[in-house]
Amino acid sequence: MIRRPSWRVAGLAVLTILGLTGCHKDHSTGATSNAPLYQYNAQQNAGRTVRWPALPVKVYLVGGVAQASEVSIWTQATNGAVTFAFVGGAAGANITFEYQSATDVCGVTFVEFDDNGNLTSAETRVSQSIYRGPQCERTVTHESAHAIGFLGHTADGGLMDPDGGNGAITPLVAGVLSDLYHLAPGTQVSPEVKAFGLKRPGGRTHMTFVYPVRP
Amino acid sequence: MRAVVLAATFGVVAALGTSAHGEAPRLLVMDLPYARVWAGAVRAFGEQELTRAADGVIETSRVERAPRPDETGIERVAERVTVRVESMADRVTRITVTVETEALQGGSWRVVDASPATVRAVLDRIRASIG
Repeated sequence: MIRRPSWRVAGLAVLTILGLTGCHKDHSTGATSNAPLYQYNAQQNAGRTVRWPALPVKVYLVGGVAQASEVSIWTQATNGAVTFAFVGGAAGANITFEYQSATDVCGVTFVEFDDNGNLTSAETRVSQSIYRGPQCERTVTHESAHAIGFLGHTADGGLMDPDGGNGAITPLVAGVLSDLYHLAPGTQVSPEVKAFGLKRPGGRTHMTFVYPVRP
Repeated sequence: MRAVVLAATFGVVAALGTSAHGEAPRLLVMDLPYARVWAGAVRAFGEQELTRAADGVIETSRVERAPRPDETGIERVAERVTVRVESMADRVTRITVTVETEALQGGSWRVVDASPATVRAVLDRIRASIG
């Protein structure tokens, strides 16, 4: 998460269009069609989803670096699809939060995964001198999303913009993470939004059905 | 006989494929500019001789070492590390480490699977040097 200008850029208005973000099984390829999930997750692994294979995700917060609620808010945002357990040491932790001394970024997250789409470790470093300051927006929550599999940045003015935006968890982000944890790690995902057209013989009517939105 | 030869050939190809493209762990670095990640990845190799460090690819020269305790039955190990540093999106950088590995056994070198310990060590060095 980058440090943004303290004067904040005013007037940024970006609409999030969710109507076409369907989750649909393509029986010809075996892939699940879900453009946002592809864009913000699966494209990092040749089209296969990347997530923690087991829940709850075990989190270690070093030295009071964050409050548990800043991480577990993703449980609420995903309607319980992702759950967390907070542990008292690095041993056995999946995600570790710690401090770093940088002053030009609010935080950075390293995630490792294997070819099968299993996240194997995540480490978040927040810049101690600024991550709670006005130049950073909900750094811990932003980095937490990366650590559980939101592997990109939005441009919708919300929390997962590179600078944290207005700090709001947008439906797009919540939906991607919810979808991600309703699928097994390594699920093949297609970037195409599926639309099916029916043409009546001799007629001009073209009906398009866009297949269902996430559960 | 022909079938046996074919099967053996496919077996060798499969083994090589596993070695080159097997379950290589990938590292994603979120929220740092690509240039900084690249610089950190190059810095991770310190004084080690590199045959390439450009266009998102770092390659070391072939380096021989003694086998580790768990690498039994071999006399020497030779490794060449390749690190790919790719910009995937705005402030999302993917790092992939592959290690071409050969083992000296009975006086001849043969391709073997990369040591997970070597891959782990490279990734740890890169993580430590990116900040």
